[in-house]
Amino acid sequence: MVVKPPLQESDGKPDIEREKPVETGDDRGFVGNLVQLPRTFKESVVRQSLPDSDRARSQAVFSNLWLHAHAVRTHLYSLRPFYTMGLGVMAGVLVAILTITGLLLMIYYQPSTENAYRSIKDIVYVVPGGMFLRNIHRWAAHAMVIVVILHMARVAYTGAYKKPREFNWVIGLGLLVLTLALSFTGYLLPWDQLAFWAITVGANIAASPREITDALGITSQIDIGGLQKQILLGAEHVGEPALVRFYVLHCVILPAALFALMGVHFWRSRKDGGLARPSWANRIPMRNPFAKDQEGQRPFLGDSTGVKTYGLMALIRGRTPAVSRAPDNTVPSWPYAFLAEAAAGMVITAVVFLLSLVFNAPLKELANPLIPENPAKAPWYFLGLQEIVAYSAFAGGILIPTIVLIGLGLIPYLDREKDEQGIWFTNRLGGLIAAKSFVFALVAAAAAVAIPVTVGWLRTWFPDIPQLVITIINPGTLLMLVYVAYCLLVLRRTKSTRMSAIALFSCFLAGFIVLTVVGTIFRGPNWEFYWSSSNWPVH
Amino acid sequence: MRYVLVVASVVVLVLFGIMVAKSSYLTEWREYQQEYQSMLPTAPPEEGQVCELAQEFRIKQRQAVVPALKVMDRCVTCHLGMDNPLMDGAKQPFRKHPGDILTSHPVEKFGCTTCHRGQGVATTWRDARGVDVHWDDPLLPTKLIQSSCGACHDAEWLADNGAPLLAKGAALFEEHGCRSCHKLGGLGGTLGPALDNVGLKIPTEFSFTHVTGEHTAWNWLAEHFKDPQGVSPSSDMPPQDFTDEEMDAMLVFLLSQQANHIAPRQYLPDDYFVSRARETNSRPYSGEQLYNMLCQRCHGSGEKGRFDPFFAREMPAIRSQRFLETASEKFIRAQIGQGRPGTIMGAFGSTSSGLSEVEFDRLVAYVKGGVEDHWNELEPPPAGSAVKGKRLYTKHCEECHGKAGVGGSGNQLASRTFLKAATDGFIAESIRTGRPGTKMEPFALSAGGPLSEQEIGHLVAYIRTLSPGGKPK
Repeated sequence: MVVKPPLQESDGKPDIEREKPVETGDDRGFVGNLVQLPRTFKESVVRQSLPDSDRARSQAVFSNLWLHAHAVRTHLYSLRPFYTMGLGVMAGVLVAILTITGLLLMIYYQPSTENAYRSIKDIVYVVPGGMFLRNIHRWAAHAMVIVVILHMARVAYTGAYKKPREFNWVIGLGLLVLTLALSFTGYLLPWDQLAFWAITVGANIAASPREITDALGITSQIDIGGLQKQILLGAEHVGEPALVRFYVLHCVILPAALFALMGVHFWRSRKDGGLARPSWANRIPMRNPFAKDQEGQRPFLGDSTGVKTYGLMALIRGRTPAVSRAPDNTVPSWPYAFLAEAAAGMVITAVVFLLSLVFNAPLKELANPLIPENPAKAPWYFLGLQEIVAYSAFAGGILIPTIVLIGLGLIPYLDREKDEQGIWFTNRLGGLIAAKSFVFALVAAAAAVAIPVTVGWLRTWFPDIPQLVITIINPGTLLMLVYVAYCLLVLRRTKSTRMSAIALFSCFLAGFIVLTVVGTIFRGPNWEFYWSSSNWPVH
Repeated sequence: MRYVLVVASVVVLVLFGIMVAKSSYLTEWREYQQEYQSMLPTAPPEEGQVCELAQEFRIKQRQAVVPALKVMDRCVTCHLGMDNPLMDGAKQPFRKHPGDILTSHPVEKFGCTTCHRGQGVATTWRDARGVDVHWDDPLLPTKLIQSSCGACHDAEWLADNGAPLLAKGAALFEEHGCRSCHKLGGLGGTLGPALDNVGLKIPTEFSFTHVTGEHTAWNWLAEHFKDPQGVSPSSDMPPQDFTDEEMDAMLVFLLSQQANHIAPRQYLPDDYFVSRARETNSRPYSGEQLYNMLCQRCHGSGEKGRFDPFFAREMPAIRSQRFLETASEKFIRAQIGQGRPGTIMGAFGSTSSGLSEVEFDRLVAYVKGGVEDHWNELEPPPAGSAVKGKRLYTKHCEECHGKAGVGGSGNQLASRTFLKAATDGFIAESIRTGRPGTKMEPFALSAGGPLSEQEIGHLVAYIRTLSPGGKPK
């Protein structure tokens, strides 16, 4: 039920009309207009003067294209720093940083095998600030992968994927895939040894369904792997066609898809009433940490005048607090939410800037198809998969990622328990299970690496074993089965799909971390295990 | 939240400021240019003299761009005094380019890296030098710079025209008989790799596992010359005892070997074609030239056997009187043409060594030296028993020729190419009378040795069994 509260000033006009600057009678003749030009121009651009009341600010949020992605009021629960940690905002800010630096890099970069490497050298050596431009782009891309995964962890552990946000979780997974795809396609563009051989590994993974079709003897009829590789590279090997394809994917197709999905992602979370929060946050008055005095911390209040106002703009279908029956725990988005977002954005910007000052983005020798890098490593976030690719390109590169993505995507549809949302690990048991399963998954993943390293794998004992067997039975697939079994065990013990979902996500996170760390730090030439890269045979 | 925002914003601003400062003001090249500017005079030292003045000097990046050579060299951003006479003998990077090479090879036409190598696009010294950074073509040390002349010019012409070290290296290459194992220009042995493009090899093509110094091609080559097996464990190359100057000459010569790199037509000097023409005109080589190029490194003059301490074996006296009296030209042809597979004696037939038919004939004729042989009159020994022969072999031959003829300090006998070409008479005669001038003594009773003619027959029968198919057709 919506009740129209008493307005602060009542001149009978609707808010929107009243706030418009009045322009009539402003003609002062040629000279007068010329003198007034700075003011009139400014007013024509920014049609409102800087709003000076909460209502005016709300008005501005409502009527501004860029600000209206926000609701005019934000729930205090959403602003708790340790609830979201600003991760979603950070991801968005990183996209902005990447877009700006990416566009600037595009001005200098030439996507041809002849010029690509040289143009990167020019960016590094002669473009003003070019080296930092490139560093910022590189580290922001890496930071984005981390931030997106952490954001996903936040959503998973707080149960924020639950109804009505199930599909937004799936869109989020799509954004994760796009983030990784953008990173991967960007990897080839410098056309150095690192790029060339990492993409060669990637292209061979694309061709890996041949492991299955070869085993079935149908590769000559249906060569899915070959087709995928052909589509990706436009040729048999990484070369000019591949470079152009990756360039177009990286600069046009994937960013377009990313922006579109980001729009949907934001729109849906806005339409779903902002961030998920427990039901008590709508019932029990919350302390407003932003209000300066005791008075302002009283519940039922939002507006600094002490009078509650509801314009049309504050109405969100089905999510409106029932006035005078429940506390209003919202604050105006301007300034409180914007402040929080700006802070999160500035923090991640500072981190990226600092990294860019301290570490230069790597650029190895010009790509040389005759001299393979050993080890040829994919970007770090794929090294967990490359760990499994070492056994089977199909299992590590296609089978497992697909199953993992499907598994993660199914979480909100299988866990439909009506728990409280927006609470880390839901309850004490959830926290315990998250920790326990994380430790279990760490140990299991470490074992999945340690056992083959110490005693070998099937091929060690049965040299003639068909590859298909290893494609199906390898440390990666077995680890996945162990994880699934563990989650089913949790389900049986707790009789709770939510607890099982927490366990599943912990397993995913721990497995990802262990395999990635092993692939990044402990793997050397020929993918052999080394405790330190200083033990690598020198080349 | 407010404080987080303020602090983070200040940090971002400060970091951004540092980035701007570092990329626009605190650059290595800018400091050099400021220093150079301070070294320039404000007025010409002499009345009417034209020279670069401090007030006219602009601080900006400079580069030499030569599209035809794919050169974009920013070296001149810091090496500012290249053509400034006032900078003669000044400290680096401002020193005037030594010599008058820039008059014939102006920077605008040739760039810098065409001769000096290094990373021309870079604007810091470390990156421009290109050693231990990710760059395929590190800066050449000054002492090896003459190698770049050889990329276009004729080595002989260069001897009197600015690159004596290169000419010396070319001479050393032939003197040391490097061609015995290495091909160059298609001519040479097969034991080692061909060297036509060794000057183009990039550091990553070498294995630096056992190299102690810098990861550059020249350092690899230098360390490899001194200790071939230390640098490349499977190498068969004997260590080379070069003086420092000889070492530099050899490195210069090797680095000038860039067959696959041909400068654009308009850049090629006349003597480049002279060089090509001389190469063609000097063929076919004489037998003696070929012997010195290909055989002399191991066999010496060939008149006497010589013990090679590195290979720890006697090198056969292939031009000793006794050998030539007993060996037919056909036999010598086969031995040179097919070599002794499995030993360091490679095949030098025209298909494997790059000799023309004429040259191969000349080499064989030179080795044979016109000595009359009585190959066909050599008397075969009486038929013997291989079993008895084996016992005799163990007693008399194994010490030098190795178990079952695999070779030791003496020749390998278990060799198909040898046994196919050698008649029973030739083998028997070699045992009977030995090879004067070598460790192979006469073994026949008649010559004061221990073996009867029948025992020699047993030995020949046994030796015949040492290699499958080891019978003359």
